[in-house]
Amino acid sequence: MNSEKVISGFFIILALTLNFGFVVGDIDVIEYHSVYELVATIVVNLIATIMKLGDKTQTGSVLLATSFVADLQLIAAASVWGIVNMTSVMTPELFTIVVSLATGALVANIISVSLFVGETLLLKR
Amino acid sequence: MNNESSIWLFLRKMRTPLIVLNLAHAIPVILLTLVPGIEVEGKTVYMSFFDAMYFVAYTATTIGFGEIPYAFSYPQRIVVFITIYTTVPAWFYALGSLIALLQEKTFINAIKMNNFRRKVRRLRQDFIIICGYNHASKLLIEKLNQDNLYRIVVIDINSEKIEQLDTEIYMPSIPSLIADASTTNTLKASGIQSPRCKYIVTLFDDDQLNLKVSIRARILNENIQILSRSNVHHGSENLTNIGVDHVIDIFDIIARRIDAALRSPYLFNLLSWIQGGNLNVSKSDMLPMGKYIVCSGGRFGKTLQRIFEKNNIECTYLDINKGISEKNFSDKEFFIEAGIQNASCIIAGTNDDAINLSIIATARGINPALFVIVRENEPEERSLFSHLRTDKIFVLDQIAAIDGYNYIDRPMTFNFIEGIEHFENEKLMNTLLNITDKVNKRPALIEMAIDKNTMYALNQFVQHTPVTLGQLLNNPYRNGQNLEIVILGLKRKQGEFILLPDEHTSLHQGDHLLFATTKPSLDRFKTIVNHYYELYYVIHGKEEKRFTLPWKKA
Repeated sequence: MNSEKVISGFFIILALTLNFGFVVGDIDVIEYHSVYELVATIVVNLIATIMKLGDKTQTGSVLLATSFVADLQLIAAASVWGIVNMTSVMTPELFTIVVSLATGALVANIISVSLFVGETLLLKR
Repeated sequence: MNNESSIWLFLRKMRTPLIVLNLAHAIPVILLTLVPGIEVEGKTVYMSFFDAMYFVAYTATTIGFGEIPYAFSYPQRIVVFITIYTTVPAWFYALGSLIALLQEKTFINAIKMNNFRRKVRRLRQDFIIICGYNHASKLLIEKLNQDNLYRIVVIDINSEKIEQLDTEIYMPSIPSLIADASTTNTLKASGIQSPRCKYIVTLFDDDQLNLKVSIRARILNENIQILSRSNVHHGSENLTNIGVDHVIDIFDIIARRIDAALRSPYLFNLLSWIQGGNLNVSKSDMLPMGKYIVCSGGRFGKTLQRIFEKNNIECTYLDINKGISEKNFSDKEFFIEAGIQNASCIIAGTNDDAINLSIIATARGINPALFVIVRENEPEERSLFSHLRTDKIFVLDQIAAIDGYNYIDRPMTFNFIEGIEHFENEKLMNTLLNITDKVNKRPALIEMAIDKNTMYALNQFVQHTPVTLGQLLNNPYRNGQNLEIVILGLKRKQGEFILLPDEHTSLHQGDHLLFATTKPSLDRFKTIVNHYYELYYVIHGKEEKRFTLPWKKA
């Protein structure tokens, strides 16, 4: 057992599950989507990104790329939400943008996890 | 690989500090939004995520703008306590590890290596790799940079030497690397596999190292020309066997020159001139034909002995090296025993300048009329030897540098030497006097090609009009003055070499010219061969009609 693998696997999968938890539910209903879940997703995603730094293999680079995509989408979602709250009132139409951005991040996270699992399965030890 | 992996290592080492920093920000932010603030207009105010992030950001970096947007409630202040005691150390930790990593030697080396690689990759000109920075390579670099046909890259394992190189201001600049030149990785980094890399020169004093570098260079690039310096016996054969194109064999060069001197002072003088000296036969070029005493240990002595045997000259060989006690070679008896009183020449050829000095002083003391030849190992001591009025000084580093330079920038000098070596004494004298009469006693030796880079106009002109050497050099401006140029050799594109071509020799595209000249004449020559109308005037004796006036119908 490789403790580094456990920790990085934990964060990569946690990023996916949290992201899924935030996205699930009607896309335009604010009550279905918790802001804390979004924050947790961003934090865990950032940690997952850092965990992937410094891996010089081919899959390592692709993993890092997917992580960057997820970070970008999630931070964009959070920024939209924050800016709307500061400047006007949140409407279902605007909220759709937030959730759809987070859904995009979810796709990146799914790719990331499947790559991670796939690479692990390929190892014969 | 070593250097690349240290950058990955750097990133990996930054993981923990970055995660700590991330968590130290995230947790206080979440807590701050959860904790109730003070009541404003009957309602408890909670901090928004933006406010919380803003607050944590300026608290963590110890900027501290205060409690905004409202004064904090006590539960909030408890959270702020936790914030301060976690985020501020987290920042210091992250910054500290970053700075520590940046100062790590392996990391700095990796950065330098990457810079070097980038500089080499960006060279847009053909270039030469020089391994080892010493007196010889310094001189070689100066010579090559003057001609500016190639850019230069230098590798040396000694950081002091590279720093010394960096303090010299070379134009164009020289990318340098502190690394072991005998490793494949270093050679690859210095661009040996690039198609623009034309030559590699190894000038280390250590033959083993030269051999190592040459083998690797030959394996990494089959087309590159390798020049390698050889100092010990059998070294040059070894080097040739592994595919070195030109062995810079100093002792062989010196021996050839002494051999030439015994045959004809004019040949000797021409050789010295090609290899960096003056063109003027003086008394010190006439080697005496009497008995020789060679003081040298090792290969130099043996090479000289062969030469003297060939020329039937009596020669006593004294094997002096550091093993023999100092008393011996400053002892008059030692030299008298060797027959110095009736000798005519002494060669002080040990690899230690101090010993050489002592030999000269002692020998002169016994026989003041001796002709003295000395081998100089460290160029700084030049003044010392000339002070002793030695007749001939062979500076090893200078000979090595000029030989390498000749091979790279003036390869025709080798054809020329080969050609004149068969000349009779009288013909040699005429050749030499012809040069000194037409040019001067310190002419520059230049090799130029008729191509679009160096002779733009002439290169086009010879395609439609036959041009001979005489047309260019004799009375080009119709004012009765010839250019101070003596053409020593002409090499056709197909490889045919014409020694001392006469003025009726025609020129073709791709020909190479070797000539002796002065600076002003060279400038004038360059002007002629590069400017079309100038060249037209020189050849036809009148200006070319560029347009016809309408009323003057031709």
